[in-house]
Amino acid sequence: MIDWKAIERNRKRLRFLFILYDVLYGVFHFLALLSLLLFVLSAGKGYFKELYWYYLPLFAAFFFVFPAALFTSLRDRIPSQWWNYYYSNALLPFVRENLKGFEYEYYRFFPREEFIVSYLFYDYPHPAVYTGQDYLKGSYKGKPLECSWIGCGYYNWSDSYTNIFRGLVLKLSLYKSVDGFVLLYPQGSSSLSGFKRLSLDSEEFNRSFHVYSDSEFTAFYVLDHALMERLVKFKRAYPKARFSFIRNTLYIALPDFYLFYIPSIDQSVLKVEKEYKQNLSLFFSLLDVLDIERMPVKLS
Amino acid sequence: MEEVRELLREVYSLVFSKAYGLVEFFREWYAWVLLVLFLLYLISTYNRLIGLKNRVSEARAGMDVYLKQRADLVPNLVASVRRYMEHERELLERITFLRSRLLEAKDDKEKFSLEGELGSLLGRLLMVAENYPTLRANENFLELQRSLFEIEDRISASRRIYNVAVTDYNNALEMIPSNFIASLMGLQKAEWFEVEERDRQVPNVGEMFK
Repeated sequence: MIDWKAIERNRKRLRFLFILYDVLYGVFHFLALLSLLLFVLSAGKGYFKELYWYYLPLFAAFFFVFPAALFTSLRDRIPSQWWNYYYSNALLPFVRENLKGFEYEYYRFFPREEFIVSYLFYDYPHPAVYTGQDYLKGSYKGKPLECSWIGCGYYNWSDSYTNIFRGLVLKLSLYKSVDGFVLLYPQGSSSLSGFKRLSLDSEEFNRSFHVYSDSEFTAFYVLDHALMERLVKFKRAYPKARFSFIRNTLYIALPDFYLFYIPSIDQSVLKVEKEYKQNLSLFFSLLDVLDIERMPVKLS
Repeated sequence: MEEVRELLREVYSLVFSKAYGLVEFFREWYAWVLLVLFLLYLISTYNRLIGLKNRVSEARAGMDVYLKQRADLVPNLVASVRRYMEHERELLERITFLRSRLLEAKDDKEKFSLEGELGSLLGRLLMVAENYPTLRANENFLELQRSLFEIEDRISASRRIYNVAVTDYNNALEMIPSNFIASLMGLQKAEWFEVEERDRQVPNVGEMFK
């Protein structure tokens, strides 16, 4: 059982220290600047008869710089302290408690190469910026699955950042091994150059997705009627979802979806548990819509 | 006789005036534009119809490959189960009979009907095989079963592609104005490969391989 109140108390303590170090840093920094200013302004004015009085502000400035640097360093360590503390005392225990049998690593994610070959965003083949977190591996209703949060984008010619994708990527192994790929992009996404959009034998499915494949047969072979129905239901529940079937793997991209996060030191942790639980509940209800038990995923 | 002559004169003058009107019409530039557009439409419709017809043939050829693979699998399957399933002699004989009939089928309608029945009976055979534990332990049978499931999936996919191609083709043959050109070309409607709902119920692979 996670003691969220104790975590919140510790967060407040760390936050207090953060502010204290920040203030102390500001005070010493200010004093150092003031001393330096005094030294510069008094130069050649003959205010001090003795030479050591003349150099005193310079020494003082030198003296104040050290505590300012010390407090900066102490202040800057606090966010990482908070992250480590929260990760080991809140996030990991929460995952162990709520996702039994799942392997979880906060700092791990699908490699960039795998994301590229998943063809989930074939229209943006090479993201320049690629990061991730929240790697989860396990099985749900007897079917193995892997997922991870991914954020990627690129800088365009005017050096402004363009987001490609920020959300959850899910990976399932299919028992149907296909030679090639089938991509299902939501309606409204830009058409893929070099590929002809396919029409399948379900009007509703065609209205819901843009289907691309290197072979018409592969698309029909992978997407049987039952699977198409479930994918349409999934689309209704999560309209921005994308799917790609690559050889014997199904990748699902859920934009703007995340499972966990580490709150900043300024944010109360008392509501985080509820949010985690809501995210997990939505995640598993989406898997239920997809009817993972009936999915053509590898038998474990 | 005079009346006939009068009638002929009238017909002649009418035809002449129409022909003269046509000649006059083609003296205008837009008449030629209209004619070129009409010819372009004829060519594009002709090409589209030929494209659709070829797509049906292509889909049909793709489907035939898998149907043949299934038909080739039948003798092995029957031979491997005959020893264990003495009580299902009738079912096995029907499967063998259907396979031989398929080779003699004359038209698509008959062939598709036989294929549908064969698929259904093979599905039933695999269901019945569940009741024979010794058969389920036979590696050869299990291998044939796996192959059959895979081929059934492939047949299903190719059948759907074929039906989509046939729908597009038949629609083009029935819709105005392409139906006029289709009738001039002497194109005939293609047959759908329909499978009854009971035939689609393939046993759950997951359950069978547990």
